[in-house]
Amino acid sequence: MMEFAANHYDGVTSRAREVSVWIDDQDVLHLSGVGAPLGYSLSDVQIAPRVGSSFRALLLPGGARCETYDRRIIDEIERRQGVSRATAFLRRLERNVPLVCVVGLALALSLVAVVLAGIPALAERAVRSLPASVPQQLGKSALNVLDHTELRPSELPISRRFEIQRRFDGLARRYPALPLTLEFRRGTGPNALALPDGTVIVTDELVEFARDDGEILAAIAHEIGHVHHAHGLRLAFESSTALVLASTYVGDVTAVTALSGVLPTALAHARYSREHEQEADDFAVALLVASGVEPQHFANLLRRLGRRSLPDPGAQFAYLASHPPLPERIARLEATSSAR
Amino acid sequence: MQHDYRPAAFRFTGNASEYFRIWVIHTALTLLTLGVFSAWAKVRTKQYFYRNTVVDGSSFDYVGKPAAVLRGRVLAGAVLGALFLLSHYSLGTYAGVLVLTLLATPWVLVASIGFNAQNTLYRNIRFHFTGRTKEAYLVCAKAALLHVLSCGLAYPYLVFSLTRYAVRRYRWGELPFAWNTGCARYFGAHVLASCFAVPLYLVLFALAARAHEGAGAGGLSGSPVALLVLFYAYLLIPAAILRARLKNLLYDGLAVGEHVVSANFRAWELLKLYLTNTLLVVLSVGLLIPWARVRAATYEASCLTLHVRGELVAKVAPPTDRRALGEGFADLGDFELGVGT
Repeated sequence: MMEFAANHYDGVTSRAREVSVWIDDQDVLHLSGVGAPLGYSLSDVQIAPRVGSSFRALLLPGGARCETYDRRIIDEIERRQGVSRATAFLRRLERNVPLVCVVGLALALSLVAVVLAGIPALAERAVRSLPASVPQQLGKSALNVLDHTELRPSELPISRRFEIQRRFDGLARRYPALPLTLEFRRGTGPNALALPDGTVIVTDELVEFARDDGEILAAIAHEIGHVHHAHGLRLAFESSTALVLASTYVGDVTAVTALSGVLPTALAHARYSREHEQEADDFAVALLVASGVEPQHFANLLRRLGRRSLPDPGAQFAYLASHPPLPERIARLEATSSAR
Repeated sequence: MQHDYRPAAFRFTGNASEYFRIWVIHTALTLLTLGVFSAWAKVRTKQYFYRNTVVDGSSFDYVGKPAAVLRGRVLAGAVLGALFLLSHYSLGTYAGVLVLTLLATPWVLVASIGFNAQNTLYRNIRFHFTGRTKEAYLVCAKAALLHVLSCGLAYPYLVFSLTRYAVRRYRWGELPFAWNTGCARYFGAHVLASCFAVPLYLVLFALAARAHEGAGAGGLSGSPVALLVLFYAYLLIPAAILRARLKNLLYDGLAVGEHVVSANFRAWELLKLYLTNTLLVVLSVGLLIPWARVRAATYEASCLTLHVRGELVAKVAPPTDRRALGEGFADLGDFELGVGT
């Protein structure tokens, strides 16, 4: 019969009393040190379930508590009382170090899988189930905002616009299901944009920068690719889902900061964006070839644009770039072009 | 009569590898049970952190019942779900429910604080929150009004007034909490943090402007994402400064009966903690979250000291008092949301 030391708190005041605890063969728990020796039937005594290896508490009838760091008495009581199956199950799981490592790895891997594959798949389904009015509205309001902020009316001669429009229609004819329209604007340098409602915007600067109409068509084809795959909406879904997932997973923000939710989301967003750009690039090459336009024009355009623009501070962080690195893009384009 | 205080430092005795095991099993089970297990996970996590927080040779304990936590979460989840669904149908109903939810916030606040206080033990004496709902409404309304009228400049007052309301209504047994920190220092802390944040916005504008004219192929290439990350990374600096000051304002001088707490959080330490924790969490795909939490808890405990005058003793609150102290909250539920693994 072993005696164990514990601190007894009667629940009336916070004063601790050092007691000795032991159990006899009739399953009676004895306490001595609190005035007269006390005895409790073991069935009336509860043990606070263990979490980790902190102190253990014996809950006595009447609201009193014994706290002890001596695990042996607790183990003994549990042995006699029996432990609830749920508690035993949890404990077995937590003690099983190999299992914990495997589950941990599985958690990490499944998280990566969800981010890389699950979310894009989900986003695609979500976008497809949207009523057509949504992208229409978004596109309209986006153009409105752009016209009021960065874009000005085009100053290209009408004949030039007409010519490009004609060739645009040639490309668009291959995708009659898409609500494609062409708009010309001036502003933001040589550029082409696609809006969710199928509007493709080409800037005057791009038309002037191009050495061959094929280059303009290449940019347009790339943007049509974005419309075809509904990249604008998909990216919005993917990013917001990633943000919710990251925030929920990280949970309590006082230990880590908002950055821990933002950084993974930013990485995910950048990755989705790069994938979309690649999809659009591949689409562009296929469309150009099918329409009888030399796909090499696209690579040429990118190369010259790359030389023209200032070094991009973001380009240093490859994982945060929204587009694949330019040399990679050009190489891939030329490879797919020559393969056809 | 004893007039000297003896210092009792707070300590966190948990370790990361132990908590890692708990956390992994919690997360896996929460996912497998589609969130139901999260209530048990929350209770056990709180128990782990409370039981490993030691002061004057004894540790705290958390005795909340998982069923109550689950109840609270289901209720909160139902309300949020209803809001979400309604937002797609009728704008009017959505606005109505939103307003109701906002109005219910002070009540939810009191209920949550009450629930958590009630279920926290130290040396077998519970804490209590004696805040009444009506009072909470008055405090919240006044603070919100000032906040709106000043176009946000009175935000430090909002923080101060809510903190004061919550802290002064706390008790350990029948020992009341006392707190005499002034409002001016809250303004000072926020102004200081803003001084660090404002240059950031200026630099950001400048960068954005440059990126605009520089990016010749705007729609075809460019990277605003990097800017966003740098923005948040830099924001850690004013965040750490503000957090350190707010914690010191909260804890330093806080009195429990005759005993007084002192705190010395340092912005620099917090900044290092945040940066390393963020890197740990992101690079490990979240697996090192337990380490981040344990490090944060260890640091927080190391900054706090309780100065005990005489003996650290309290009597349990009288039974009639206890009902007035909102003991009913103990069964109502915990409304905090989040995975809380």
